[in-house]
Amino acid sequence: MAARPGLESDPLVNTSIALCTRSLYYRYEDTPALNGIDLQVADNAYLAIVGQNGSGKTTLVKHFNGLLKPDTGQVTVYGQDTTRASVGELARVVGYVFQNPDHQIFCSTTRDEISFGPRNLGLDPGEVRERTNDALAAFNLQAYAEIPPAVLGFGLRRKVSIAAVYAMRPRVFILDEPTAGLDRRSAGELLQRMEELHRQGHTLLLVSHDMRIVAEHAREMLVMHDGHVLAHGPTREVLRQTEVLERAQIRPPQIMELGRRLAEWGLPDDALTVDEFCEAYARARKARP
Amino acid sequence: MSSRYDLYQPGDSWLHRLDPRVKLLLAVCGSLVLLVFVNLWVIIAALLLALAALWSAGVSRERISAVWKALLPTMILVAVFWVILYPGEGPALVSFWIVHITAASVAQALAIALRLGALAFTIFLWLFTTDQSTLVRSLVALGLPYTWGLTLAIALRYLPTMANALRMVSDAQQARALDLTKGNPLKRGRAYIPIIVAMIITALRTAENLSRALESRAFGAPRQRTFLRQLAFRRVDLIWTVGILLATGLLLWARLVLG
Repeated sequence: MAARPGLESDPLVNTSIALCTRSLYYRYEDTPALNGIDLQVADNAYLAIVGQNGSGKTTLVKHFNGLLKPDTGQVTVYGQDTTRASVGELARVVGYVFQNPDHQIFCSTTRDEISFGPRNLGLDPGEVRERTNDALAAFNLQAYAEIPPAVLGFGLRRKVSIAAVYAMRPRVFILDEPTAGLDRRSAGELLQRMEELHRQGHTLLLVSHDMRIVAEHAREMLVMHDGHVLAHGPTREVLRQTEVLERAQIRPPQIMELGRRLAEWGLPDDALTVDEFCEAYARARKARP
Repeated sequence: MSSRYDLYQPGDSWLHRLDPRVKLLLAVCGSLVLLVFVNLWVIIAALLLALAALWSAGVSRERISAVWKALLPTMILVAVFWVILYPGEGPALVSFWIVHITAASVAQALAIALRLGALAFTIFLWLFTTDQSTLVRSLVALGLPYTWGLTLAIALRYLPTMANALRMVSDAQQARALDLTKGNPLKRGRAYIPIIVAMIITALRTAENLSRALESRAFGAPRQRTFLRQLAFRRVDLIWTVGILLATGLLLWARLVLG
């Protein structure tokens, strides 16, 4: 496979399937969390994982970087069985951005914070410096490079936590609620960065409750409920399955609901974005005399 | 979740219903008696009484065996050292090198070791059957300043939260390729720095948010606090108090005056 810009040439990366689970079961003490998950995520996918709290989203994604190992079944990352690799080894390939940035921030400067991961990977100092500078620039954090990240505002701390994982240049990014607590503009910037990563060939897993973001950005969608996969497919197709959404207690984005109510007027009932809806509306206007 | 960080076993037994202040008195007096007596039979009797009380209060066998498991290494260590270092009087049962083991020293060692168990279970009578908020309320009722009591209650309440945060922090740093298992002990110790520092920052942030939340709910505003739930000292509590004090007095008198 030809190397894409921004991607590590890695011996692990030799398959078109990025992540794969086979009848994956997992339980926390007496509570079952995952009840037989069979899933394949293609390389360079942009997958949103949605579901209520406690449906098993986070438990599932924690299997992909080896933080959790299956009770029964198998999880592979680019063909590598996660039970045979440590979290540190998997971190080369799978970057996991936690929901709360404060769970990882500890260095006295933002620069050190970002270089922590690359240093753990055992890269030489020049490479660490280059990647750190690159990550600082990519997330517009140069002005804060020498400031303790703990004193930055929440939005900036979130950016630091993502930049810190970005500097490790993993093939797969897992982002757990990356836009929670961000204002619309910061969230927009972040989603823009994620689009760029996707264009560069990275695989993105987005755990989110925000259906607007899911509809506008994710190419495919996975609906979880009670540790089961209810649906998995292209975002538009999954969002059309009203019964599945109701069972998982998920409301489709507002624009889709509006479309459904106005369907009898010839408007699309599956527009994912406001732009898409407006275009369809304009076309419908033109078509009518 | 919280049960792992909380000694309390929910229930509605006579011991659960007993006023927490009386249970505290029982724990204090029981400990006093146990510390004054070194007689093996008295200690065995106290131990059996405490276990019988826990059993009648419906405290699970797992909980009691967990206490035994935690105590056993210390008890064995204490007993062995006692036997070796304090020969006691009478003919030696076993003699080697400079060590003489006598029947008296074995009995004494057994008493000292079992006393640890008896002390622990006397105190667990109180802690196993009193939930945290009642425990704090009883300390406040006994004159502990309310702010101290609240601090204690919050500290207990945040144990599971902080344990959870610790797990998250550890996961987050390991996801950044932090290896906690490689290298010599010093290196492994240093590997915990990212976890400890992130944990301290998280704790400080939590404390700041919590104090703001408390103040915004008028904590510290009125001079005279009122309480939603008052502890009620019933007749049975009074009977227990008098009984405990009398029994303790009698036993101490017997030990100190009669010898």
